[in-house]
Amino acid sequence: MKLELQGKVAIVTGAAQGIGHAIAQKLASAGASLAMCDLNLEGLEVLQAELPAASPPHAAYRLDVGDEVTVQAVVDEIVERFGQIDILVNNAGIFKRGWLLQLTEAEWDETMRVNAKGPFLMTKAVAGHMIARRNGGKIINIASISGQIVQPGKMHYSVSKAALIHFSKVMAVELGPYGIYVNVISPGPTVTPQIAPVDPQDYLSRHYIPLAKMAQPEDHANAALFLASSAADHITGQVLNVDGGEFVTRKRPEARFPEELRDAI
Amino acid sequence: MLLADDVAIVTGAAQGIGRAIASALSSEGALVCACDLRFVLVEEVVAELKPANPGHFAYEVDMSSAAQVRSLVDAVVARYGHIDILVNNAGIIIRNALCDISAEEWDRVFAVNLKGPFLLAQAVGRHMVSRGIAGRIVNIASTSAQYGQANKATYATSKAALVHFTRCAAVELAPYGIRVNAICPGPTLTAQIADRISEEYLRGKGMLLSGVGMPEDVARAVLFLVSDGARRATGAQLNIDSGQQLY
Repeated sequence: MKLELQGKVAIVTGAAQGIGHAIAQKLASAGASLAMCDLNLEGLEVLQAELPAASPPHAAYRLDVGDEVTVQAVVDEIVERFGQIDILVNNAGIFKRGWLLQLTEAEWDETMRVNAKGPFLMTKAVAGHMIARRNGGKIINIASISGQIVQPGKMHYSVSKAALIHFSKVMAVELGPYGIYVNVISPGPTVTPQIAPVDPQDYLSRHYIPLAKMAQPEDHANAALFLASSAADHITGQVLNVDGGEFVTRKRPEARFPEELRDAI
Repeated sequence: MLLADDVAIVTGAAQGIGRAIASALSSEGALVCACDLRFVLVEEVVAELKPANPGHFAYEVDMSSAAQVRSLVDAVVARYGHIDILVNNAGIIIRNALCDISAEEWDRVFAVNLKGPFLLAQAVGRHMVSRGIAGRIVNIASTSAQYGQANKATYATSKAALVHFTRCAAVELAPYGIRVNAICPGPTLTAQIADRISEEYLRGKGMLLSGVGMPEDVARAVLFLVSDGARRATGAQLNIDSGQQLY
């Protein structure tokens, strides 16, 4: 079994840092040509310089996945430049803390827009192309364990990821007849800049993760490579937890709405 | 009377499941604030229930508007002094293949089916916490939240998100004695799907039990979840679906 993507074109959103960055590197090292997307164009250019050469060459696009007009325009540009799209990795997402009793409407709207609506817009644009081309394709959505279990203090993030997970299952059913695979990677806590304030030792002392460690971005990149490759050609509608076993345990940290936020409600 | 002196807000109460819920809560002694965008219809519902309790009231409200939700909660508290029960029932369904789903459809379905329940649960939750009320919240989801089906992606996704919202809210509000649960109905005979439903159709949709799902079936489940009989239930999903999820 070889995990290789020679001749494949892959879109990766949120590729400028963290998990997206690692996924882009992994797919490129397997031979894929990358259309890398992010709000941070400079970060993409740094990444692009690190990648092995590809044919067609990799390209970088500034993209707000939650904006319908931009999404369609960028996907059209990618199709024009590369001629095909074989793989879509919906990784772009924002992470903010928040409690039901204290969240603002604006915070809710923005998180849902990027984390749930964004993957919908990208899937619609890319699947439209894949269906027309009649060559199938692979869509991989990066969710979160907090969309499956309850991790207090990030209500809107968790709900947006739960939406993404179910959207993926629905799309697997709807797009399967076109040879389009839709799967989810559900990360547990990962060492990335986005959650840098979390101290791994402190986190591990309060959560029960059977493997007693946090994930590295490369753990998710390996899962993405597997799902994108022909080794996963009978797998769709699945949620692959890359979480050290956290999802299957029942010991969770206690968390209570912080008293210091009471004035806000 | 299971719910004497309780004040309940029911959304989407103008017809179907919401109407049946309003009626069931009223029959157990609750004072019902029946809410809907369709004001004339929901007023008729309240008029029918008034003999049981003259305090019932109809509100016209757009659940996707934070300002209207705040006004609703303020008005109910000003009128009755307290809120004990919230049933987030209002919901819309639009059937479309992926490539026919507009961004506007996504926004609209999520605004009613998910954002509305969030805004209302937040406003009501804040009230309950500040008054020390061990209240009860029930969210009406759907079996569409539990498995994949084609051609209703926005509906199914919003309902699955509502189920997880229910679990997250249950954890956050448990320290205050507030219980939050979800009901997942299967196909239920209401005006919303009356043009498609028949027993033959339902058998093809994996209903294991004979007979048609009725709004009263869901309403009775709501009664259970808001009553003391369910005092150890929170964060749960209760399927009222003739076994459809097992099919």
